[in-house]
Amino acid sequence: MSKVLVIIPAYNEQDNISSTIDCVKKYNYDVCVINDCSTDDTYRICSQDKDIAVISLSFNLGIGGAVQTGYLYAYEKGYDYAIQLDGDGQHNPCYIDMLLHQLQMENADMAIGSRFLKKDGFQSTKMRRIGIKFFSCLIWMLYNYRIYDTTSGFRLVNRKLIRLFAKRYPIDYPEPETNAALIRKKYKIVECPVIMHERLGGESSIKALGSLWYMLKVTFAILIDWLRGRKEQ
Amino acid sequence: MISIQLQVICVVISFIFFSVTIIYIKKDILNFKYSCIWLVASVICIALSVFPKILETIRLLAGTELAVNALFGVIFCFVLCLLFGLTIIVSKHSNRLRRLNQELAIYKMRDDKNE
Repeated sequence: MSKVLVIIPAYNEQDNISSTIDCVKKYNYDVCVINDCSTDDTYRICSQDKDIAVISLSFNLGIGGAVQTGYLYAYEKGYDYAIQLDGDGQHNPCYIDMLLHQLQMENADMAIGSRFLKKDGFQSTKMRRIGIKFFSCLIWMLYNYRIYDTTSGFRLVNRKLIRLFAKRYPIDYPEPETNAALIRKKYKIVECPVIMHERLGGESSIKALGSLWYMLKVTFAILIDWLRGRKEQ
Repeated sequence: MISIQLQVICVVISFIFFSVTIIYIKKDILNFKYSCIWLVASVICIALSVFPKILETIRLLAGTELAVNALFGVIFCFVLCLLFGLTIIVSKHSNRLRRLNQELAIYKMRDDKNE
């Protein structure tokens, strides 16, 4: 059986983290929690569990840096596949098997768990859906390739991409940017329908004031990456 | 033409600046690689104050009426380049720091687990 690592980035997730870990462990996957310098009890709660790897960063790196640490670990330990699963209970580990199956069947490099293929479950707020649609259109316009859930963090990748992400991964809001970069580099991406839950507790990393910055930064990053591709041509 | 008093003041200030940079390099507070630019800048300042003719040439080249305006222009460009250089250095260092943080965290975990 291929080795799969579940990467859980956690920043101040003391209310949700143990239930998330227990849930993943039911499916017998290896778990690696990246404690992104939490100020609450996240590290203490995780480190009580001896079956999982808990990597605790010395200072806060943000979601991208934390997840990249997981990829770095996965690469060094020789995992075949790695999947990011948010520590707040939004992603259900029961879909990992399906994503893996789909990825292997279609011989793809990345499988994205998508909220919008079958419009079930928590669909995010209206404003956010508009943002996601915008990125989806932007990527479609640049590459003629449709990804519906561009901001989904629930992504399974193969060894090739583990290596790539360990080397280079955006610091903040990495998902749409990396999706666009992967399409540009001709990696194969598949999307599978999943049902996501609303956050169990804690705070989302994207707050109201940051939304505008988020849109600008990601749009800019996607365009810059597109220019990179033109230069290589 | 600038007055002799102003010329003296400029030379003194430039010289103090040059000496302070040297002292800081000697004390290992400033990295030579990054302070070279300041040494060069202070040498240029000294040269400009000792030979105001250079400034006159710059004024003619820049086509400004007053020499001081040409000087401000040159200084502004210099500061802009310097800040840009510093931003590059900060970005580079923040990337290095991130990698260091990640590797340290992985080693720390291995150490705790005695792997």
